[in-house]
Amino acid sequence: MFTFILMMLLGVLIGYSLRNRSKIRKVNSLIHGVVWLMLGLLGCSIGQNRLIVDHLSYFCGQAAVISLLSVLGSLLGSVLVYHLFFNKKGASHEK
Amino acid sequence: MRSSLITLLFFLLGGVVGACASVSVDTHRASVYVLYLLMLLLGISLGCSRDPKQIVASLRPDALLLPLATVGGTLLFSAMGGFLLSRWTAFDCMAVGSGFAYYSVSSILITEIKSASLGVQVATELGTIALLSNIFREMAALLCAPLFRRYFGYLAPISAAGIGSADISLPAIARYSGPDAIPLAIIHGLLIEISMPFFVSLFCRL
Repeated sequence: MFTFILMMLLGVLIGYSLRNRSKIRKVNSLIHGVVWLMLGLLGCSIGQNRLIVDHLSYFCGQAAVISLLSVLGSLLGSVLVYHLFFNKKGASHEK
Repeated sequence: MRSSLITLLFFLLGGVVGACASVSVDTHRASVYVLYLLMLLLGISLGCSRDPKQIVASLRPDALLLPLATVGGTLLFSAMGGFLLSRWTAFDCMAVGSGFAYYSVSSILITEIKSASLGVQVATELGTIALLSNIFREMAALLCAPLFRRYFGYLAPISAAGIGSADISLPAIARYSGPDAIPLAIIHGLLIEISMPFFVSLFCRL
């Protein structure tokens, strides 16, 4: 884990020192490509695993439960922050 | 949305290749090296951000409250998954929720870190659940943004999007919460993106 964070910090330093070069902005397109490659590899490793392939609907169900709970939790958190701190600023956000 | 679909397509393509063809490459090892490259590129992208000073200048206490609420709400409710899903502990579910819709990196991180304690097989299962769960979250943030805005308020589309509030969900947030929400959404996504590896790592080790 420490290596992952170090790689990210190294990237921040490289990006900051090269921020005035226009070509550095193309890194975002490269990120998409690397994400696609990485997910292709992940899909491949999952596809090789018969246990997961045979129980895919089971995993989808479990993922849906955690996803639903996560979204609901964050929505309720945002309602709390809005009513406690943002609502006092007036009705400009109410459209 | 198009980017999400392409990503999903690559994942499915990889799955089909893995299931139908005999691949001799060690995908586990290869994915670690690709993840190193991805972290480096993400760091470069953050470092060369056009207006880092402007983002830092807009870091007011108000702007920090929303990421805190998103993280707190997500983790608290994800923990409940441990009671509903008997196979996983509350910490496993919190590790999955800690992806905050960043499905690509979080799923790989969970698989890598959990392999040591649970073994590769179970860690891959949890990684798969993390991937699917965070894809579902991103899809919900994109598709349900108008409903979230209507029933949960101005900040809800930002909070639901998690990390995606700074990039993929930003157009939907701007449309339904208004242009005023854009700086808030960017700071929200950025702060959660920075914190995500720490939370995933923490809950994977508990």
